[in-house]
Amino acid sequence: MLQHIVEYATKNIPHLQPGFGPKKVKWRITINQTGTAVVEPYGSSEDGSELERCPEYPANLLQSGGRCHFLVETLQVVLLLLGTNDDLEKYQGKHQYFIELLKMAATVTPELIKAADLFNDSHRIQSLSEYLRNAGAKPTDKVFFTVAGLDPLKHEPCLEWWSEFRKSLTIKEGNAALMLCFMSGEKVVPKATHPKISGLKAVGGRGQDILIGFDKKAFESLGLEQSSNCAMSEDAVNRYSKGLDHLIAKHSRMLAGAKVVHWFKEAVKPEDDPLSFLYEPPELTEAAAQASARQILESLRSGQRPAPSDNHYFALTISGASGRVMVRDWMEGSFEELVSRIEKWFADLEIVARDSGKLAPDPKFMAVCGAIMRDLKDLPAPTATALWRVALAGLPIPQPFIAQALARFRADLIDDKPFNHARMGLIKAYFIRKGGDHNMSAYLNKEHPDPAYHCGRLLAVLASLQRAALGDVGAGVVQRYYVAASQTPGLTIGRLVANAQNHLNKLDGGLAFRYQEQLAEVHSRLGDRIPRTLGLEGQSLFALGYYQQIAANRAGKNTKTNETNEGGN
Amino acid sequence: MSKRTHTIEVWGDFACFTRPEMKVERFSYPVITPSAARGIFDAIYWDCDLRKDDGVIRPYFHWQVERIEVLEMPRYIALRRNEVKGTGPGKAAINKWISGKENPEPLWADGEDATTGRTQRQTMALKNVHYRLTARIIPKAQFAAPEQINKFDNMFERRAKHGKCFQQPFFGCSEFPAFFEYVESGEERKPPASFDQHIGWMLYDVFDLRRDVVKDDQPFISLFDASVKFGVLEVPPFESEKVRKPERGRV
Repeated sequence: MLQHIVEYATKNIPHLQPGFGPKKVKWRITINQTGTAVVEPYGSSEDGSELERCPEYPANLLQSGGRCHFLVETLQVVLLLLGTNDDLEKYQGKHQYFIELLKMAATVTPELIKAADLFNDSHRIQSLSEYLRNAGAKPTDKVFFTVAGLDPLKHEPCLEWWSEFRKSLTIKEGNAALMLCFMSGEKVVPKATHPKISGLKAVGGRGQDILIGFDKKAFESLGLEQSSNCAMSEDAVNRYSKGLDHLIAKHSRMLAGAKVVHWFKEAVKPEDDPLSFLYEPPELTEAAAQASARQILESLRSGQRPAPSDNHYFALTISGASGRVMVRDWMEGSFEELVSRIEKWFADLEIVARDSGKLAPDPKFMAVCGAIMRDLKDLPAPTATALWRVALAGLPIPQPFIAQALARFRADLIDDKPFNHARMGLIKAYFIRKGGDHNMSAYLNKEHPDPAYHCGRLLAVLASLQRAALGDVGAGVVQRYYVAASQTPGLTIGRLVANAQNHLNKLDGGLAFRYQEQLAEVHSRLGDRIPRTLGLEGQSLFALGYYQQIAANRAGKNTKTNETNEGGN
Repeated sequence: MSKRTHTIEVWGDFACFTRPEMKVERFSYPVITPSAARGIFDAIYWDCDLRKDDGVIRPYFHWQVERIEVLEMPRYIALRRNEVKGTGPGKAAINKWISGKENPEPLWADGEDATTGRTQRQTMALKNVHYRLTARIIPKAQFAAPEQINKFDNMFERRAKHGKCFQQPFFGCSEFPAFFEYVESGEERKPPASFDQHIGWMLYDVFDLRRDVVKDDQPFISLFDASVKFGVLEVPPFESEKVRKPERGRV
């Protein structure tokens, strides 16, 4: 798993070197030859701009206090611009260390002496701080400087000095015994502690969370201490942590209480990314003239749209837990396999729209997740992760999800809310993925072999008849009898059919004849096979039959059914 | 080495072959590791010479796992459990408890500091696992006479066919029991699942399988580049250069 993240980092992140990393910087101090300084906002946006290669002090040593990063730091450290709750003594210590580092580096970059002198002059840094305070700067904003026309962040001797200096700080680790690296298989000096991962604050993390760490005795094995439980070289650790940071920042999406990160071995254009379609089917996001997800997937599969050959996808689901990174799922496979599975996902969820007679638009993945919950915010992360795996791996839909979907369907029906397309599609997909021949169709299927389906259809016709005869009566047949009819049709349907005669008597001849014809058609399919009780699957078919009959009625005579699909009448 | 190989089918409801890099919030490898497979064979039959004079263990042989066939596609399940942060005391303290020199001290589940007490952790385990494992007995030099090897092979076969084991075999964690059945050579069985994955550097074993004498439990962590093709993981011999090993006496 981690080796793929390392490969991604190696391919996509420039300057991958231990001791350096990207930082978002908001301010720049320009120091001229005479030592006078000007501070100004840096970057094009309000958030500043990212500098790719900033020196980083070893995180484990930083925790001991009185230490700070080299060249790029916060305004608190560089200019002692403090907030109301900041500890002056703490930042004075860091400030002095910042100056000390500059003086040491001045042996290779003499210009840094001017910067050290400036930051050592309390009057001058006070005037810069006041300017920044008036300009609305926050103490935690990061700042860098140029001096006498030289940018130390681009001055190789200065950066090489930092690299060597940093090695001297970690020399203690360098004396440890050699072990086999789990990333490269080579004998290496294992890194004692690993850097933290950013970007998981929204999913249970603390903002800085550890992926590989063994801080408690119970999680150490064989007498090994700390991260020697999983030996990795400093370079490997740097690559996986930077790679994961980059992936979370650039390629992650929220999935309930987790984040899904996905990428490809060979880059894929965003408009051809099948995994993005799950979240945002193209026809929902772009002009109506755009092809549907399935058309694009079909053209990718058939080679009409160019895609890298022998490509692979990787999908990692992660969240935070008390300062640790929790891996919830890992999936990988070939690009072709992914395309066909996403295509199948949409095909399985395909369902007739509630009132147009056409197919409903492809549902967003989160809409499918929401179809089994009252509110999307109640969606548990394991449920979302399980559905994610169902979509990507082409697995059967777990039965408890259908039970939940059915409960929501009944609740919405009684509350007279509109039908949810994703929910009906999910119920249909359940039967397709379950295996066996269940005669599932996106449209009304008059040939369906299961009487439960036709019982649902019959209730839809009876409800329609009541509305035609009496208009809106408040709590109609559906509100009063749906639950009973879907669970014990043998007890309920007979009474409802008997009552239908009263409704037919109120209609004009033509309309009455049409309803009589419909009732006769459904009865002919049912025969004497009305089940006494229905289980979960029977109730699901009942719901599907009810929905597809309603959709067909609303769309009028021109509606598609499985018969028209097959070229029948 | 023995000329015969033995094949068993193993299955169970759950398994967790924990990746060393994800040992805290556990995440399983997608397939059984060679060391876990070896543990299953060991549980059915393994024997040693334990002399009373020096108290060291001289194994008669070790198991060399050769082939792992994945019969069910790997499927993950998330489990959350309350665990403890600390560990039990060392052998010396336990001996004192046994001899009555000290009163036993329980491992407090409700400790309040950072190193004791409860903590909730996740396990991403595998569910409904099913493998076909093939392994061979590699006798130690002093027990390598043909009749001895034949005896070891026959004992294993007899025990496995009768469902006998010294301890319940398990899948990575002792709470996930493994059930087994001996497969006769040439017997037609379920084909491997269509599963392909390059796993990367995978844990091979945590002990030096070549050692003739077991004096201590010092770790000896070996790795190999694991790749499952058409549902089959071919395991190189421990002696092979494909298995990366540390220097003797080092981890």
